[in-house]
This record gives sequence, structure tokens and C-alpha cells, in this order.
Amino acid sequence: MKRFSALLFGLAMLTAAFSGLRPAAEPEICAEAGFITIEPVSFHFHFGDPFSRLGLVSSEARMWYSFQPADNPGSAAPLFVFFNGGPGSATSTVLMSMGTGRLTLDPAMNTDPATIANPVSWTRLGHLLYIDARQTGFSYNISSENLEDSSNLFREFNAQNYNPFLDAGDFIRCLLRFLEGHPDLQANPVILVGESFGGIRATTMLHILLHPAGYGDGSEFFQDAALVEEILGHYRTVFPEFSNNDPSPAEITRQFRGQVLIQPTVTLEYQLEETEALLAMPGSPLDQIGRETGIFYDPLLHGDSFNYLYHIVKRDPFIYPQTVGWSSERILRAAHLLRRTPELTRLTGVDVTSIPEFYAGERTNAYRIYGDYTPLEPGSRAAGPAARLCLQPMPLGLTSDGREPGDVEAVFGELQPWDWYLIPSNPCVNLAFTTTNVARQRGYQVDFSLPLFGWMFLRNAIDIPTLITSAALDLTIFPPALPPALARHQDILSTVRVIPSKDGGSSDPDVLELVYRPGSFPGMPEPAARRIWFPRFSESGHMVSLSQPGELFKWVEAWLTDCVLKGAVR
Amino acid sequence: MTDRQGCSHRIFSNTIARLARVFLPLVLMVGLAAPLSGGCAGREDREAEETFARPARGDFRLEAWGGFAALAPRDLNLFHDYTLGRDRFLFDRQLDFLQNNGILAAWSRTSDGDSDPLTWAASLGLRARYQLSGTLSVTLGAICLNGSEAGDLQMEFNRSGVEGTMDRETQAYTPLSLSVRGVAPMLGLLFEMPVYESVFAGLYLAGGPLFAGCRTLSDWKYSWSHRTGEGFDLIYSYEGRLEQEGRGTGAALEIGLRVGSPLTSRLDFFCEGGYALLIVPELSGPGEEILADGPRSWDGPWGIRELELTAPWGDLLLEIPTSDLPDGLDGNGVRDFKLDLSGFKLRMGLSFRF
Repeated sequence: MKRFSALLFGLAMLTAAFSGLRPAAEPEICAEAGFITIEPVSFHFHFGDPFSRLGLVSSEARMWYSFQPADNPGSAAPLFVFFNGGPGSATSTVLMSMGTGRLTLDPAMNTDPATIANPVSWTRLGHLLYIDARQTGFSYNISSENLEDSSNLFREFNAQNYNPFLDAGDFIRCLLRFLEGHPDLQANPVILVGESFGGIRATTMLHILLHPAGYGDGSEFFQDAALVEEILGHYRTVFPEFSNNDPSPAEITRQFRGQVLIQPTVTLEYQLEETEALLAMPGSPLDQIGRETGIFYDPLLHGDSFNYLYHIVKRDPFIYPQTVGWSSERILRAAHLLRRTPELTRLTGVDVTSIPEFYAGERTNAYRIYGDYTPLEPGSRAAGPAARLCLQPMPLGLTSDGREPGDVEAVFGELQPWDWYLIPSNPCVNLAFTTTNVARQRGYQVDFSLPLFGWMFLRNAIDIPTLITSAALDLTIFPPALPPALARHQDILSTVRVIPSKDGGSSDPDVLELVYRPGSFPGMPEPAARRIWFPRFSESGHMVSLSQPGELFKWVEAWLTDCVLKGAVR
Repeated sequence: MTDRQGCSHRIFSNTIARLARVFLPLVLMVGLAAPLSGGCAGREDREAEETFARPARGDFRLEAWGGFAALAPRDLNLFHDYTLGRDRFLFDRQLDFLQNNGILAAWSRTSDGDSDPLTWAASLGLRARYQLSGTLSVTLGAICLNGSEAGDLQMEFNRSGVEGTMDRETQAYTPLSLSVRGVAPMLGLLFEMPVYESVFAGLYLAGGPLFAGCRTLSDWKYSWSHRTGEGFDLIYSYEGRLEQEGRGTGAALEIGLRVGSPLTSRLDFFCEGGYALLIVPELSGPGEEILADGPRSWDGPWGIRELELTAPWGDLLLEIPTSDLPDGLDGNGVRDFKLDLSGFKLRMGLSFRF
């Protein structure tokens, strides 16, 4: 008995000793979804005179996010930050729903439930964070004004809430606050994944992240001192060795490691001009469509190529072999899905009925749109004083009685006429960035088609490994136009060339080589060339993750290994 | 581009108002002083009955006057130049640029109201005078200056887009104002002698410290409207305010000629005209700015701050007088500010002998 007791005691001691040596269990990282609140932000634009600056204050924004942890959440697993474009397009109805997460909308659209397991989930590569931009998808604003007055509602859609710099600031704030709330991820590598206008957003985000000081000391024409302080505070946390100095761009890229741009706008004015020139040439896709339809493209008769495709030959400009509406049909299908709380719960991995900010009682002064709130027939024009500028009907996918389909209203409560749970594409946002923008009116360079953003993209590309998709069927962001568009920045680049794949694009990508002029940017080593992965997607249009999710995954995985983790940008 | 100034009749009526403000008190003083000096007897009777005593040593007089002071406070008036120059850069030059680049088909500007730099002030003064001899007297007194130029100015810009759109922007100042105020106690000498029967002339010289200050105020509103077939719909509007004050101490020195005539045995009327050097080399004071992104305030010495505006349509160098100097008077692009109230003065007054 004594011997047995001694044996037991010894075993107990050994167990205690080894338990002290066993590594602590990895903290569990779980799926999350909800809203990150961005308080009203004071910022301004200026031309060098502080007394005549355009000072603005944004409204409170509740930005929708969904987080999916990596399959293997090691300490070095990168965080992919996804966002769509527009501006005004939701991430939740495109990138979140199609081809990147654990579940994906079935492209054939004939399964029930409508989502299926995604064999090429990017969770195999890292953590995924999807964010809906201000007033897109599920994100909504809170106003301090009386929204019964339609002029107050209309006024909300202007530069104080919509410009490329505040937009980038919104995403930076969301990202940094998400990281701050997850200390285990706070220093992980971050990869931005932007689609379409998301290219401009990624460009602006990275320029602010790599060169924050100028956005608070008066150097840049956009000033947001609070954002700069938040960024520098983050750097002091993740780079404690630089606590007394602001880290350099090269040092910052230890965390902000790369960008995946899916059919992006990066230098839009030049891209559009080169697109029109290329599409007008014999042998172009428009030429091919002309042969198929018997109606050949004539700029004098048909205006621009978008008008020819959309209104004349009834083809979807985003994927030109398909008929008009193909892309929006899929987006609305995703919206229909996400308006059903069980499906949204399935897709996000989170019980969305537990998210308080969804409920009507928590959003008493929330708003999403201005104008005539009744459902519109396709082709009709919005009525009402404030809506005269809203040129298109809202693609809300509403029911015949003007309600949101699904069970969101039954679960979360009825909302005000100007508030909606999900807006897949918000034209009021698009107009606020372009037509009804007082900063643009007063001459500040917030027009995202300007070459300024191409300049910023080229500056970022010096330090940030980049992958840009080349989708053969997309005529809105026409890939062959990108190299000559970048070459138009002759003050920066001496040459731009496409180095073709060695194996026809199966495992070796096309590469865009940019050769920078000496002295084009301060501190630029000479000579300097940068290579951007430019893989081809022969069956894809604008939404590459929907059409060829496997190909996209393959190229991102290879690029991550060869360029990002090895630190190779040259 | 067309430019049309309106309301010229306002300039005339403003001048009348200014003259009235200065001369009405003088008229009242004369009307009140004449009875005090010895009754309401008619002038002819008085001439027959009285002899006008010449100034004698030991005489003591009290004098009061009012008048104009011409000013050219160049540094202060930079605020007016800065405001209008800045607007021409932000509006006219931008619209020219847009038209030259084919973004606008045409544009026009109309203005209503006016805004002028500060060029004059009202002055009032009091002094005691003690005769040292029949011609020479010593004076001790003070002059007060008060000048203000407040303009209401409205500008309207109409833009015609190449697609046939029409936008209207307005920039209105209610007001855009500059003002100065100063007090200078002065010690001086006056040499005066009769030149004709009842007319005397003289020369005066006085000097002393000057306590003066200035204020700039710009209260403005911007609006942007878009034509939508049934009129113009307001797209956006915002407003702002910039107010600054400064105070300091300097020096005053004046010299001039004087001519006068007795009204009664004790009361003389005089006119003086001359030049006054009134300079405050350093001012300091607070400022406040209210814009949509929040109020801002500051305090400190005044300087002239150089601002370089850079926009897609070009560059412009402007100077603004301000105490908002982040790096103080030694900062880059900052030079000294002085409040210069010097200029020619003209005044009329009454001198009462005790």
C-alpha cells in the first residue's frame, strides 16, 4: 500500500512538473462579425493657407466587418483585408460571398442552402477580414441632424463623408482598431486585397500608412491629425524598437507586406483613355462583339464603350461574353442571401442576431440613402428635390412592396424609410464621391481618376510587393490598358513592359516591369526597377473570385511565397 | 468674364455719414461754448464793446477739437488685400483654369457691395495750454483716434459646364472689417502770433507715447447650388469667421500749422493741419477662427506671415497680418508687423481761456 501510494505521489509530481513545461495552449481565435464605430472625424483640405482651408467633420460611421481565422493560425499568419470598390459597392455581397472565404455563393446558384464549402478558401493562407465601406453593404452612418428634413439627409452625402482620403482613413481606423482588439494578431503581416476602386483605396491607405507624418504636419493637402496619431501609436506598439522615431517606409513594410489588386483602378484617367483607344482598334473584344452581333462599335455613334456594351449590344461590360445584368444578378443574389439571418450567420460563422448594432432600436438616427425611397422600375428616374441628382434607380433588389427581402426586418425591426439593412451598391455614395462633392468643386484633388493616385501607386510599388489580376473578359478595367496607362507617368517611369510568362501562364505569371527614372522619388536607389505579378485569368471578368476562384487562390499563394514572405519586390 | 460693381450711391451716403459724425460734435461744442464765454450778445455789439486781449504770460487755456486723420496702415491693410487676393485665386483663377482646360464652357462673376482698405480715422483731442510768453505756450493733452472700415461684399460665380449644366457659387462677407483705435498723451509746444486783425497763426509740435490697437474681422459664408430645371438646388454651404485683435505701445510725434480767430474775449476758434507720426512697432493679442472642423484660438505677437498657395491652377504668394505664428516671429516666412497710423491730420476746435 505504501509503495502504491508512493508511486501515485511520484506520478502526481511528475505530472505537475511536466505540465509546467508543456507550452501554453494557443489562444483560440474565433470567427467574428459586427460593427466597428468610427466617431465623427475633423479633417481639412488646404492649398497651403490654413485660414482658407476647407474644414469638414464626418458623421459617425458603423462599419460592418467579418473576420474568419486562418486554418492554421500561427503567429506569422498574414491578415488579408478585403474590400470592394464602386465607390459604393459592398464587400459583403462580392468578395465576402464569392470565392474567398470558407463558404461561398454557389456560382451555379442552384443549391440550398445557397452557400457551399469553398475548397480554395483563403483561410488556408491566413486570416481574413472583410470590411464594408461607409454606407455600403451593412455599414451605416448616424447623423446628428434631423433626418426628417430631406435637405439634411442630402447634405450628408458630400465631401465630409466621401472622399478618397477619408475613405482610406476609415479603413485604416477599422484595421488598427481590429488589431488593437486582437493583441495576438496586432503585429501580424497585413495584405490588402482590393477590387476595382479598391485599387485606389489600397493605394491611398498604403501611402498614408507608409508616410503618415505628412498627413498631420501640413505637408499634404489632406490633413487628419487624429488619424496620424492613431497610426503612429500603432507603430510604437508593434515596433517598440522605434518608439522614439517614426519608422521609415521600409520598416513599416515589415507589417504592411503586400497588396493584391483585383481588376483595379490605379491611374483611372489614363486607364480609361488607353482602354478607349485599344477597344477602338481592329481585333479588339469590341470588334469581336461587332462580328457576333452585327453592330460594330463606332465612338461617334455610340459614345463610349460602356454605353455601346450596356445599351446597344446588351452585353455586360464587366464580363463581356455575358448579357447585360449578369454581374448585378449575382450581386443581388448574394444580397438576397445575406438578408436571411440564418444564411448570414452561416457565412460569417457568427450568430448575427447577437449583434446589437443591427437592431432598429440601436440605430434611431441612422441613414443609408437620400431621395425617393420607393422602389423604382429599371430605367425610371428618382423623383423629389434631393433625388434629382440621383440618376439611377437603386439596385436594392427590393420586393414588390418596397421592403427588403429575407427576414432582417422581422428579426431586427423596421427601419426609417431612409435606412436599410443591406445595400449592395449605393449610387448616393458614388455621386457623393463625384458629382455632389464640395471638395472637388473647390478644386481639391479628390477626383479619384486623377494621375495623382497613379503617382501614389507608383510610390507605394517601390516598397510593397504587388499582384494585379489580368482578367481577359473585363472591359471596364481592361488589362491591356494598364501598362500604357502606367507608362503615361513619364516623369516617374522610363519604361514599362510586360514580361510574358515562360509557360503560357500556367505556373509562371506575366510580370509588369516598371523601371523608375533616377531621382523620381527621394531616396530611390538607382537604377530601380520593380516587378508586379500580372497573372492572366482567361475565363474571368471583373469579379475574378467568382469566375476563377481556384486560379486566383493559386496565384496569390505562389506570390505570397515567392514575393511577400521572401521580401522580394525587385 | 464680366465684372460689375454696384451701389456707388452707398459710397456717397457713407461719406456724408462720416462727415456728420465728426462735425456734429463740433457744431454742438460751438453752440454750447459761445454762451459760456460771455453771453449771447451779437457779434457787432461785442466788437464795439470789447477788445480781444492778446495772450499773456501765465494764461491758461483748455482746448478741444475733432477732425480727420488720413491713414495708410500698410501692414494692417494687408488683411484686406489677402482676403480679396485669396478669393481671386480660389475662384477666378480656378474657373479660368477649368475653362482653359475644356471642363467649363463659360463662367461669370458678379459682385455686390464693397470692401475697402482702412484709409482714415476720426480724431478727438483735449489739451491744456500754458502761456510761457505772448507767443509761446506749452501744451499737455491727449489725442484719440478711432477708425473703422467695414464692408459687406457678396460675390456670385456662375459656371456653365460643357454638358450644359449650370452651377452657382457665392462667397459673402458680412462683414469684412478693419479697425484701429489709439490714445496718445502728448507734451508739446505751440508758437502763435497775430498775423492780421483778428487772425493768428502758429506752429505746433508735440510728442508722447501711443497706446493703440487694431482688429480684423472676416465673417463669411459660401454656398454651392446646382441648376436642376426648376431653379437652383442647394448642394452645400459652409461658413467661417476669423477675428483678431492686437494691442501695443509706440510713439506719437506731430507737427503742424495752426490758424485761428477769437470768437469772444475768452473763446477762440482754430484749425490745425499737420502730419503725425504714430507708430506701434510691436503688437500682440488673441485671435479666433471658427470653421466647420472646429474652433481654433491663439495669442501672441503679431507678424506678417507669408503663405504660399499651391493649387492645380497655379501658385500664389500672399501675406497676412496675424498673431497665429506657429514658430513665433522667428519662424520662416514671417516678418515684423507694425501698426502705422501716421498721416496728415486736419482738425477744428475751440480754445477757452480761463
